[in-house]
Amino acid sequence: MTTAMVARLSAIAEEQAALHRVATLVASGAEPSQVFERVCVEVGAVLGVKSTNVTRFESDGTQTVLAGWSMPGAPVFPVSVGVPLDGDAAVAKVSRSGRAERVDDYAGMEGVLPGRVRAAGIASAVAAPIKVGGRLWGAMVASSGEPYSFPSDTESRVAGFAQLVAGALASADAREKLAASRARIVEAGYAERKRLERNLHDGAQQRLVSLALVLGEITTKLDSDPAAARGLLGAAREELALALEELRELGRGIHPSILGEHGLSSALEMLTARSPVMAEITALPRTRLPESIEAAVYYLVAEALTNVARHSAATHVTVAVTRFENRARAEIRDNGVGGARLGAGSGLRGLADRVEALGGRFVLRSRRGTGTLVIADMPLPRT
Amino acid sequence: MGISVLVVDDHAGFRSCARRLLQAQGFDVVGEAADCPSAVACARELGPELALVDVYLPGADGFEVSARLAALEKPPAIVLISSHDPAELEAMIPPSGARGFIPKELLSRETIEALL
Repeated sequence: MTTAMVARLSAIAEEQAALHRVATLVASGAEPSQVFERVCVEVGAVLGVKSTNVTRFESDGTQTVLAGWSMPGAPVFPVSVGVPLDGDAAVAKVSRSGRAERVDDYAGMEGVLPGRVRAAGIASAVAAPIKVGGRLWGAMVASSGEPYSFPSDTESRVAGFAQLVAGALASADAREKLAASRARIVEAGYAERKRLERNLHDGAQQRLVSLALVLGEITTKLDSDPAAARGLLGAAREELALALEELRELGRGIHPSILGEHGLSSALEMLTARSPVMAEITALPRTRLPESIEAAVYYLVAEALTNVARHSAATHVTVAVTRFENRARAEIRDNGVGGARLGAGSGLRGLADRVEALGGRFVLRSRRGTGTLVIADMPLPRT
Repeated sequence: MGISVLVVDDHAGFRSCARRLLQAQGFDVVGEAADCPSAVACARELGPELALVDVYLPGADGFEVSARLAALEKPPAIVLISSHDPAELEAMIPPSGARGFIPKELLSRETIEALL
């Protein structure tokens, strides 16, 4: 083996070790900021460059330089916000092309960003895209105070680290979303209990209190005014009937007994029959689905139909539930105004959380003027 | 004429049932109020001998209403009422000037007189 081959192999081994260290940090659930800093250090060491940066592209067309590292005394672009992405600076080119780019010499390049790069003492740079979930998120940059400092394979090597940064971001993002969804489900549970207590108190409980008072009045009048007492018995029965109806209504809200006893088909028929907007069931599974899935579909359809009646101005809505080999899919489609959004605190957000908690996927398509389509696709639990 | 009473409760249905029962049992229901400001105004204007005050009211609660009524020049005797769990409420009743507490469903001449 030649000396050159040994050197090349040891460089590859070093690069793999660095990638491994970053991957371990990502897997440990480190904060993105920590990962950015480590990546900057590792890229610098492995590529033998004097300075590195991680930068994020913002929706307003600027970038936020999130982390930077440099050898003592070497130039580095400072961590900063609102940095422009103009001219032919390496990062600006990445933001336009989505590919790795280089600048071998910044001398004489026009633009605000190239000017700031030069002012930082940087003469050449290689930048690679960081893509998260298919979207261009930012870039990993290696820089040098000397022009023409980077060999031709630098792009692919920087890109390797950029991929790891993307992995860290994607998993941090997923963790954050999961935590937020859990918190929302817990909050929704509390809010629901509070609502039930309120409804019980304002509804059936008030009726029963009134009934107790009417019975008191009857007792008082039994001897002195028997005719009035007899008349009050009618009022008492009425109060009792209303209390019962309110308790039943509340019970249905907690868990519709029709669902457990007669299954999803009957429960959905009841829901569509009650819908103020004409609702049609276009598909139903021939066999019963697991209990948790039937309940999820029921609440999804109930909430979706309520939304259709309240917000869509639709004249027609269809409900379709289809069973596949190991998943079930529910679709609710209306011909209304569209424009529904999955905002925080909306009923739709709660539905999406519940579907996702069951390992399913929730899709909302609701462009203005094209109606609204809600789809929940859920895996069937293994029996 | 029986004891004059002011009923303070935000549920109109309860107020009308309570009024009929109390009238049937010989009380003179002189006024109804749904919240703190109207309770204080009614008490000042009508000078009832007794105020039945619901614990849970919108805005200022029954304890605060009791304290405000007790501070009037000619304060009524105050009895708190509620349809919430009595055990929970009895532990909560602060020194608000109220004579005591009656669960709404047990409201009657006997329970009221026991506290007066």
